[in-house]
Order: sequence, then structure tokens, then C-alpha cells
Amino acid sequence: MTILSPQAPRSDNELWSKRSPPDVVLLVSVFALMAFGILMVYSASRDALALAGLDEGMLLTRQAIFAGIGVVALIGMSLMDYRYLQHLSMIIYGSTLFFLALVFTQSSRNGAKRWLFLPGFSLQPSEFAKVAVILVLAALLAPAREDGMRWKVVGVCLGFLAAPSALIFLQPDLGTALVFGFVAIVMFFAAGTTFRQLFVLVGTAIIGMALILNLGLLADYQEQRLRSVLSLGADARDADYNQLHSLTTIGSGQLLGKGLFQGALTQRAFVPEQETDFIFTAVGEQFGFAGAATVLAAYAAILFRLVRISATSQDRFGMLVAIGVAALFAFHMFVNIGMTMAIMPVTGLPLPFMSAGGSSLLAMSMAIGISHSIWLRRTKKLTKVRVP
Amino acid sequence: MKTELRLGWISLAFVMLLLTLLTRLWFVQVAEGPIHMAASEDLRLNEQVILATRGEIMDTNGRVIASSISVAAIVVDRGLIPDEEKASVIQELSGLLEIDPNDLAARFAEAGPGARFVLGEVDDGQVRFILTHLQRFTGVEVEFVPTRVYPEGDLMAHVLGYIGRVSPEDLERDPDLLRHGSVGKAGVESQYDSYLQGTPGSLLYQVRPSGALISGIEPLEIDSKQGNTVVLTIDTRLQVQTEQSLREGIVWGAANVENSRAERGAAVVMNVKTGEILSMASYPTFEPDAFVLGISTAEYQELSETFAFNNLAIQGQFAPGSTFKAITYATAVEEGIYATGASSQTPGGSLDCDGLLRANDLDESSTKTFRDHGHGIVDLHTALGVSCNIYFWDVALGIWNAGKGTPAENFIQDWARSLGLDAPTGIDLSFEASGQIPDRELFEEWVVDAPYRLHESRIDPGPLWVGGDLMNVAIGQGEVLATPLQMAVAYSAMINGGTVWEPRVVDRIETTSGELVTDIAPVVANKIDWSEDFDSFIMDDLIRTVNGSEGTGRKAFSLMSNPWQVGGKTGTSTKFIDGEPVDTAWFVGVAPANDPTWVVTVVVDEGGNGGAGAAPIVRQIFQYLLGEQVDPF
Repeated sequence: MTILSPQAPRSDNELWSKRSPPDVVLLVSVFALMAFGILMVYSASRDALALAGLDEGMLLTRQAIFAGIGVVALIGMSLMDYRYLQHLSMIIYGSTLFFLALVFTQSSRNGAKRWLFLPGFSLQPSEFAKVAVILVLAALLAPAREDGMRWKVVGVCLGFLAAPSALIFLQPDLGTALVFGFVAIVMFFAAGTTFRQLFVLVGTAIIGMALILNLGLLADYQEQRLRSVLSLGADARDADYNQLHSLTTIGSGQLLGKGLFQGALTQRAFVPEQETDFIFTAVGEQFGFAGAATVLAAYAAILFRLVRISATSQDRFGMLVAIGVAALFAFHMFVNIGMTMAIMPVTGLPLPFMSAGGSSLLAMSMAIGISHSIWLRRTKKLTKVRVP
Repeated sequence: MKTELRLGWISLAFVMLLLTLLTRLWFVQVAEGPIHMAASEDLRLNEQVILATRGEIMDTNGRVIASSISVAAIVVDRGLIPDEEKASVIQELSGLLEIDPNDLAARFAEAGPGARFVLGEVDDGQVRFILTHLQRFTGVEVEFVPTRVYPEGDLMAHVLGYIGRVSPEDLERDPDLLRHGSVGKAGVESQYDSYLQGTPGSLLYQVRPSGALISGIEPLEIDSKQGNTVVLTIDTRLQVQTEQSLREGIVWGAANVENSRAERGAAVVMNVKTGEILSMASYPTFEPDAFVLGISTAEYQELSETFAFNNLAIQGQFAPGSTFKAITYATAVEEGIYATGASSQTPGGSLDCDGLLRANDLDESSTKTFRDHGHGIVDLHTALGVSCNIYFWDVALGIWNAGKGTPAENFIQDWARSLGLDAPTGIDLSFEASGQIPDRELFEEWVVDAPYRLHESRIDPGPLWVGGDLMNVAIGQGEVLATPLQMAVAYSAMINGGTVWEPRVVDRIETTSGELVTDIAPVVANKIDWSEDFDSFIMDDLIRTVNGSEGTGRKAFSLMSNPWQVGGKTGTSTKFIDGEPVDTAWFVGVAPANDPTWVVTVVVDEGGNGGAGAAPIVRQIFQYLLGEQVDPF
């Protein structure tokens, strides 16, 4: 395997011969979520499509194709030596910025310019930017001191974060900009910031948010969504329409759910965007607490497998990439599922591997593939992660 | 801090996130699950169709002639009213709308069980009352219903037509129509209905099984799209003048013109260069508004009897009388057949008219003109000016003698047809009549299909189609019938170099924001290649008819400051009502002399002599068109 690289990593063959067995739990969890996601997308879209006089399996077919591409990307990334990415991270970062800027030349969809329209399909560069940001932060933080990071390193990292965040914020895509913040803070901490530095960073972020809210830099709908969640509980009627419907739909699933294709509300497309951002409502209604908790368990398995990969990585770059991917998953899962249950604002972050859509699925598959590549090339003995 | 410890902290954070979700999930699905379940069972998704606002109709200057406004109206859905509640709902509605409960019950019965119907407009207060007392109004809904308004009242009513409720026949023709919507029934409203309809939207909302709205949940609205705008070729100011002149001229004529029993008539102004209708009037008329919320049977009956719903400009078929002589004139020139009278002068031939036609070889006995005295020496040109029957009869005789029994006997009819008679002109308005040009073939058909249309003596044993019939055709009498629009089209082809138009009242279709959707151009139905002899003389001869010392139109136009700008031809056709002869007045005018642009046709049914009963109306319209002061009759 030859990849353009200024500095070839230590022979991959040598590592490969001593490679660890694949992480079966990680792969099974991911593939199971993908398969279940296809089924959920079908259940949430077939009646609406049939009603519109279209092929009811249209989204099913599309999602299955995306999943197929995702599996291929995941395996491909696993086989590639992840250390090349450390050297390529600046090129990846630069091209990401280019594509993020390119979307502003495209027409908007739902009032936002997030897509690149290519013949036959469209891509959301911001999904891939999430992976690119993890790679570039890991590359920058890898040489940093393990205990007590220099402020200068933090500053450089923040500089690199600023450009894609600003471009994404302008699209406007508040959710993705928040993803960067969360992922960065987790990676900073893993790389060696002190608690004091962490508090300063988080404090600055919160003050920054407050300023943005008060200076009116947010689009009206963004501000309203944030505020609606902040005041939630005081008066449920003020909560977002989507969330009210979403709560009713999930809640009506009760303990065991109504059964596949038996979700009266899902079949009637009661919740807007139920095949994409609100796909979790289809799980909640049809499979109840039992099914929804099982899905949570699958995400938990992925998260802790990623932490384990991070802990056993042969180098700091791999450690940081894996924990960055874990943070990415944790944030998406928490914000998306939390949104469907009205404890998080409506941000438009997809549920990894389940929401309909190709860009997110492909980017997430690549992220898991890179992490798995780190696992396959670990040299450290598996040590127990110390729980404080 | 070691990396392992840092990762441990992060794991702890992940555990907390997961536990938060799990706890919330338990709370939503298990603890509060039954509440959500009950709420979900209660929900019912209702869809209400939002009628699209009908497109506007504008005149050529962009003035709105027909538009639509939304009014809140009560819609009763009888399918939702249980039988035991019917009486109480009627009682409530009667109290609210101040309608006699018996009348309301009748409306309910008329609509039938399960029907959905619009009951009538309501104001804000009534709407609020209904919405706050929904339990008392089961099956009653308040909807915004678009209503047609005609800001200019009955102006150009016959061109606009009217709209009405969608009937089963309408649905059969266009299944996309909404059952409780409206559809154009006549005129432009009908002809261009598909452009005017627009796209309906819908309102989706969550309701309790009782039908009550659930508060706090915004309905999902899919906007309707207003229909396109139809821009007419008609000029409102000219239309106002045309209608006023026609109406006042008919009333004035009935009182002042000899033998006039005028009650109805029609007027058309057309641009001879483009085939565009600039104004079109028919009298008596009606209010298109009356149809919007339904017209009573008695009202409809009364208006029908006066032909108020008929656009006489395209549906009225009258014998054109002497206005037809211009067509015989064209035949004579183009076929080279002139009068064969005593003396022979240029061009072609003149005759000495002494008021009697001598026709020794005619199948019938000789006929006398209506005049007691002759016109003296007349040629084709002067004959048109003084409307000399003897001369045109003589042309007909010439054709008859030369072509009797062969296709050549139909020269006049052939020319009439090539000028657009005997068939609808194809104007973009429905119910157009085709007129009638008789010939041997028609009479032969009648013998088989409609013998009552022929005089007894014709059927057996006498000859079926005789020279006298052709002589009647030559002067536009007898069985010849034409609509005012057909004569306008024929005259315009005579003075515009030979273009026979398929006229249009609509210029273009636009979106509501003014972008062009379709350009509606008049179509050239036929193109005649006039000979030099016809082309260079016809306009002058028509002007002489109006202005010559013996011109039949002279008197009517003498009030104009520049009558030499106007040419035209009078017509007086005779029909028999209970054996009594009654004259119908015609005038077809063209102007201006140096650059013929307009043709104006006026017919006053039973209006007496054309020069007296119709020409003054045309004169007023030309005074307006030429920018003169419009003088009274």
C-alpha cells in the first residue's frame, strides 16, 4: 500500500503480522445499528411515500445503498494504516475548508446552505469536517505534554478550530458548530489540559454563547430553539411543536412498543423529519422502552469500545483520534436522542448510523474505520482504564 | 495525571450522559407512557382543503375587472352531524345567523344527507362565537372561501361570463375540480378556467375525536396557489363607451326610429390589424356577481327570457341585409361578373336603375325594389353607396344565368365563406353561433331533415333552389344569417389586405407577479389575395356610403367633425313576426380612412332602418375612438 506521505510510518507489515483480532463487539454493534436503521427508515417513510404516489421502498433502497458504501468505507479505513493520516491531516484540513466554502456557491435547502449538489446526489461537507477536525486536533495535540498543557498549544488548536466553525456557523448549522466545541474539549482534556485550563475553556465558551445570544448573532430560529429548551419544564406548551409530537410518539410506545409497522403515529408521519433527525421516535413507538434501551446499549458498547481503543493505542495520535471519535458519537447520540425527548434543543444533528442520509453515515463509518485501524495496530497490552 | 485516568474521567462523563438518557426514556415511556398513549389515541388528523384564490381578469391596461377576496363562511358537513343533534344545530345556526329555522331546515334537506355545503358569510364576532362554542355546532366549520368580485359591476359581463358551483358534468369533464369549489360556466371565466383555477392547498390539524382543535399545536398549512391572471384585449374605457352607446341607442331608437321595437342588440369593436377585440357588448345584460353565491330560479328565468345571458355579439344570428352587399361587391370584382343592365359603362358595367328589375329569363316573375323611384345610372361603386338592390340582383342574375346548376352558381356563397361566414369565427368564447349561408345543398338537406323550414311550394313540385334565392343571398336577406362578430371579421378582411382573423378577447396569461405564462395571439383563419381592383376601391366606396350625397349612412354621421374618416355600410333586414314585416338595423363601420384600424359592428334587433337604428350608435363609438366629443343621438 503506497500513500503519498512525507514521512513513511514504521513498516505497517511488521505491525500487521502481529495484529490484534478485530474488535467484534464494535463491528457487530455498528452493523446492527445500520441494519436496524434501514428498517426504521423504511417504517417511517413507506406510508408517506405511498401516499405521495411514490415507490414506498425508495428511501429503504437509498439507505441500504448508503449502508453498503459505509461498510466498504469502514473496512477500507480499518485496513489502512491510520498513521498516514497524521501526516496528511493538514491536506485533509485544507480540502475540508475548501469544500465548506464551496457550499456557499450552491443553492439553499430549507433556508440553509449545507449541501454540495453533485450529479445524482448531494453531499454535506460539514459531516466530513467533523472527522477532519478530529484528525487535525489529534495531530496538533499528539506532541503536547501529557500532564499540564501549554496555553500556546491550546491557542494554536483554537485557531485551527475557528475557521471551519465559522464557515459552518454561517451555513447556518448551530449543531455542528457545537459538535466541534464538545469534541475539542474532550480531546484537550485527554491530551493533558489541567482542570483549571478546562474550566477556563468551558467558561469562555459559555460566556461566548451568552454574548452571541444577546448580541443577536443567531438567526431567529436558532435563538428560539435554544430558548425553548432552556425554558422547558416551566410550561410544556411552549416547547417546540416537533418535540411535543416526538414526546407523545415515543411515550406512547410504553414498555414494549406497538410492534413493527404498528406505530400509528409513525405510520401517519405525525412527527416531522421522522426518517432523519427524529428517527428515534420510530424506535420508541414501535419497540418501546425495551427496544430504545437496547439501541442505547448498542451506542454504549460503541462508546466504551472506542475508549478502550484509545487507551490501548500505540501512540498519542491514535489515542486522541479514538477519544475524539468517541466524543463525536457521545455528543450526537446525547443531543439527538435528548432532542426527541425534549431535554435538548432541536439542532438537526443526525443519530449516527440510523438517521436517513448518506453523508453522515459515510463520515461516521470512516470515523469508526479509522478507530478500528488503531485497534488493529495497537501494541500496548490492554490495561484497565482507571475510573476515578 | 496519567492518560488512563483522564480517559477514566471521560468514560465517567459518557456513563452520565447515557444514564441521563436512560432515565429520561424510562420517565417518558414507562412512568408517563400511559398518558402519552391516551393522548395519541385521542389525536385525529383532519385535513381541510384550502380553496385556491381564483386568478384575476384584467383589461388591456391592467385594470382589474374580476378579482377574488376571501370571506369567512360557514360550511356545514352533514356527514358529521348525528341525526339526534340535527335539530339543535339548526336551532343554534338559526339564532346565530338570524335565518328562519324552517329555511335552514330546507337548505339541509336540499343538500341531502352526507353533503358538505357553504351556508353563507359570517363576520368576526360570529366566527368567535362558533369557535368558542364548538360543542354546540357539531359538523359546522368556519372556512375561508374565496369569493369572486367584479369591481366594475356588469361591465363586459358577456365577455367575462360567470362562475358557478361545480356540477357533475363539470367533474366529468375535469376530474381535478374540487366538489365544493367553483368553475367558470361561460365567457372568459369558462374558456380560461384552467388558468384561473389555481392550485388548492390544505390545512392539517390535530383534533380530539369530538372535532375540537387541540390548543398549542399549530396546524400544518400547505398554501394554496392563486390562479394566473388573464389579461384581456379589451379596453375598459372603450367598453364603457360601447355599452353606453348601445344601451342608450337602443332606448333612444325604440322611441324615435320609425318601426323600431328595439329591445336588444350587440356591438363589437375589433382591431383589423391584429384581430383583437377591443370591446364587445350585448344588451340586455346581467350582473356576474349574482352567480357567485347562487342565483334564484325566478331571477334566472326572468333574465333568460330577455336573452340577457346570451352574448348577442357572437350568439345572435341575424340576416345581415345590405351589409352583405359588400361581399357581393367583392364577388363581382373578383369573379369579373357585373350587372348586365341596359347600358354598359366602366368598370365592368352600369345599369340604369328605374326601381324595377326586369328579369325575363328568371324562373319567377319579376320583382320590384323597395324604392318607388330608381337610382338612375349606377355602377358597382355607386350601387354600394346608395345600396341599390337592382344592381346587386343583377349581379346575382348574371351569376345565375352563367352558372346555374354548376359549382359556379355558388360564387357569392363561396366568397362569403372564405370571409369567415357560415362557421364560427373561433373566438375564445364559448357558445359561438355559426350563422348560415344558404345554397342548393342546404335546401336539399332541409327537404330531408327539416321540411318545415321551406315554403310549401318548394317541396313539391316546384324547383328547390331558384334564381330568386340567390338574389336574396346577394342582398343578405332570406335565409342568410350572420353574427355581428362574423360581419366584423369579414369587413376587416376586406380592408386589411385580406387577413381573415380568428379573433381573441384575451391577450395573454400572466402569473400573479406579472410574468408571462402564455401569449394568446389571434390566429389567421384565412388569407385572401385581393385583386388590385378590389383593394384600392373598397375603402373609398365604404367612405362614400357614409359621406356621399345619397349615401345611406350620411345622416347618422353628419354630426361628426370629420365624417370622411369613416366608411361603412348600413343594413336593414326584414323578418316576419306573425306576418308583420319587422326590420333589424345593422351598421358595419371602418376607420380611420388613411390607415384603417377599427371595424365597428352594431346590430339592433327589430331596430328599424340600419341608417337610423344602428348607424348613430356606431357614430358615437367612432367619435370616441377618433378622440372627438361624443354627441348625443
